[in-house]
Amino acid sequence: MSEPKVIMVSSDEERFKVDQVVAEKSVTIKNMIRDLNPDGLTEDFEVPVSTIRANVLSKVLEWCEHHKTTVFPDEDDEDAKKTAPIEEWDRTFFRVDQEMLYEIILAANFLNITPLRDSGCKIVAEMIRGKSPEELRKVFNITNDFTAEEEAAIRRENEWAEDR
Amino acid sequence: MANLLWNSDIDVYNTEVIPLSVAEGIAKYLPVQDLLTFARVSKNTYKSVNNPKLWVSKLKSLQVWNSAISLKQEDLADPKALNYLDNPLHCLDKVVKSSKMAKLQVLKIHRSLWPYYKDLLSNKPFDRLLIFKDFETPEDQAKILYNMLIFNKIDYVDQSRVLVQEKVNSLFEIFENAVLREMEIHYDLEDYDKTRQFVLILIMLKNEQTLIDFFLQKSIFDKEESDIFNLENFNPDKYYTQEEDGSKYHLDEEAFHTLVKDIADVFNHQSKVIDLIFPQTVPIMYKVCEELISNQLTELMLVLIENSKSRGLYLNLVPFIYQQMTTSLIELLNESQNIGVSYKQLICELIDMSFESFVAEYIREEMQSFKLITNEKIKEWKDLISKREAETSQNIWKLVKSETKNDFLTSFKKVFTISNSSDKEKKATEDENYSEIQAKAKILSENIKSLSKSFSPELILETLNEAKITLHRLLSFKNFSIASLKNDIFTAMQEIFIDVIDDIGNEHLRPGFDKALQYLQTYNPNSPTYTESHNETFVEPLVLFCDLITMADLIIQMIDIFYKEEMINRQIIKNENSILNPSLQNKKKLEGLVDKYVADGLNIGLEVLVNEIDAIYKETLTNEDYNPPSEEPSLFGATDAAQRAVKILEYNMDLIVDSADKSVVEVFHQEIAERFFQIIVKYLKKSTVSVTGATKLISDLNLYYEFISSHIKTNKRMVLPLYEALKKLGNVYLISGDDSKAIGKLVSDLSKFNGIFGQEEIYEFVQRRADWPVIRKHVEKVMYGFGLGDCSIC
Repeated sequence: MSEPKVIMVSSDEERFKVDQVVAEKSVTIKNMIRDLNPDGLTEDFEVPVSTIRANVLSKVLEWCEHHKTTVFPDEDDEDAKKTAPIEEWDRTFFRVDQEMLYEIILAANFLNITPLRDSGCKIVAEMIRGKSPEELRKVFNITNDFTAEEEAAIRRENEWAEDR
Repeated sequence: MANLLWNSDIDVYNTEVIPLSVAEGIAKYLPVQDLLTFARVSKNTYKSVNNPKLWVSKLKSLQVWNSAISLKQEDLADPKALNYLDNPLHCLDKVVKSSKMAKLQVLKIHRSLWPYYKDLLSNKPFDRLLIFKDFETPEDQAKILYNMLIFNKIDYVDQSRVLVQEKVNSLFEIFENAVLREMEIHYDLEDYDKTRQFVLILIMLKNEQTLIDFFLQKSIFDKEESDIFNLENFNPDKYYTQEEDGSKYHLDEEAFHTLVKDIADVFNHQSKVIDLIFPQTVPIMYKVCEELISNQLTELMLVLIENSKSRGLYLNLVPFIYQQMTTSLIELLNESQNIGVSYKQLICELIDMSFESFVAEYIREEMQSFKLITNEKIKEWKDLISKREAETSQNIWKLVKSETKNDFLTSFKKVFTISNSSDKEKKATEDENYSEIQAKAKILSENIKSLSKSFSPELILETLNEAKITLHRLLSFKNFSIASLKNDIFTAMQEIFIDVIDDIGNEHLRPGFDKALQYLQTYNPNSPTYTESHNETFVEPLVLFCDLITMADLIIQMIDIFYKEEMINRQIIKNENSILNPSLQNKKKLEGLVDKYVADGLNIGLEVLVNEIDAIYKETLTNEDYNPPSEEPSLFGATDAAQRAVKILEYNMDLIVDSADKSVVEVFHQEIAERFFQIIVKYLKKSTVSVTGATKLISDLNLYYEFISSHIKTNKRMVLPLYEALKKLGNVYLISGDDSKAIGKLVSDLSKFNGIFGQEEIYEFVQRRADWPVIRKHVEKVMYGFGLGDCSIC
């Protein structure tokens, strides 16, 4: 008898059946399995991830599958994390449109897959360079939630330190 | 299937905003300039950018957070408090440890450094870079370069970070080389002020190693002119003087002083220059000393030490040169600000380290050589004694042989040479001729005469002196800073002492005593050969043995003094009274050895003495002594025999008083008293005493009593009753034969004799009366209540 699998159901009802190790790259899933089955899985475990679209979930699981044995550096070692170059595989992995990239980061954040999120954030950080706030909002597909006054205040706040 | 509920409050589902955690994730990877834009995107990005943790982590990356200072609230109120952050040179000097102010501080640092950093990213040639335009002095340039390198750490953009890092590093290299060149030029010109300026720049560049390497190279390796450390031209010959006959070398202390002075000059010069050039933060003087001592000086020492071996001065040179290095040299050293107060101690430790192997070898050699010398000396002495004895015997035997060979001839010759003028001479030779048995006796007696020569305090003195010299040489290293070696030194010193004691005990005292005892034992004063042909008195062997004891005592005392002076006072021995102190153990062993021999010797001496006394009585005490033939009273006073016996005893008893342990002397004296008593009794039982002779006997007995009473100092009650009883016994003979009743009464009253003599013995004594046959009947009657004649059965 094969090992019990984890079945993840996307927002558009697509079912992804993966190995437990792959699914457990997500700390959220891992904790969930542990909380509900303290003695280990005996049967397939189905999780609805209703905020994630099937094509995004498939990308996330692709990353998880690829990194299922990777050991990531310590959370606390910030300097190393910041200056470590993005892995070539990840860089290729993230060669997607900006919307998809952003959705992957959100999914990683939601599923608590820190290395994936960090990797994505790094890519985003690279992309952001030199762009205006308005351009960024477009990239992220978000709306400006500042009032005009707030926006002006923030601009003034840091003006002195801006590029001379 | 598990049923799950999601918390819909969190904005992770809201695709309209960037979730805060995602914003923070992105912010982490943004360089400062982009963070400011990022803050303006949305509320969550603004929040993420204003998270103090983000800025503290940047201060940490800038290596200023850990050394950050705490400022009081009122200090911070001063608007100028953080002004220094606006200065590109000083903005990284320090920061305030406040999370709240982290962002402000980072932004200020950024504003100060960013223009120069951005400038580095351009393709300008090096000399047109802003950092070289705005900053002119090498100090400022070094500083800004260093700041660039630090600032580079918070550039999270891979491309620019790597680019700037490489650029700054190569700029550093160029700059450093330029500074080193400048420094070298000024150093060579001995313009130490300028040199110091460049040294400080290099220190700022955090490149102390380059600096140290450079200085060592310049000051030590390139210094050809200092000939002390130029071993190729070093001539060790000048440190020795040779005796005129070319046989022996001596250390030329003058030359060594000069050498030490030269070495001190090198150190002092280095120290002076270093103090002019280097701040104390750079441990350069230590490095220089280390190099000078562990390489240069060590090699020099090696040459000197090796050279001393061929001149037989190795054992002298090593302690000497070590002393010179650790005292004379140290005294000549000036202060070193660079090292500070521990300078001299440090030099000592370095010297100790470089001497470690020399000293280890030296200890081995010293021990070996010492053992060899002592053994040799003592063996020489032993050989000398054997040789002397052999010669004496040989000389005597020669005469014996010639006599036996020429026996007939000499006798024959004698007949014709009676009236010869050379008669006297011949006679002298003749007198020296012995029969075989005489020869043997003569040899023995000669050997006994030379007994006192078995020990040689001079030899011991020499040996101890040798030990002292060795110990003093070893003591040069008593403050050695390497603990294990220091232990070895102290162990070696103990071993030397123990070795000396062992040698003296086993090779000198023991054989000497053994021989002495052997002679004493074989000595027989009653043998006719002794008394006839030689007139040495009996006491001679005992006297000689006492001399021997005195000498052994002297040797023990010498060792004791040596132990106290050298071992205790010089603190070679740490736990003086510890039972684990091997030196003390061995010293006690030696003392015990001597005591044992003294006791053994005295035992034998006692035997000899008693035999002699016995002989005196046998020879001198005549029957007439206590039984004069005529009625007329003989002269008052003791008999010759008694006087002679007492004289000999007196002489011998006095002799040993000072030469042996007190308790031994006491036992000896007591033993003599008891044995003497037995002899007296023995001869009294053989004598016949008349009433007239009784006065003589009583004189004798009184003499014995007086003698014992005055010569036995302790435990008188053990022996004095014996002689009191003897005195009383005298009365038995004094009572006239007419008063046989009184005799009988006296004899019956055993209490009068202190219980020393029993009834039988008294009866035996009374029988020695000259008139015994006459008075017997009456006396026995009183004694037993009837005379034998009364017995009707008889």
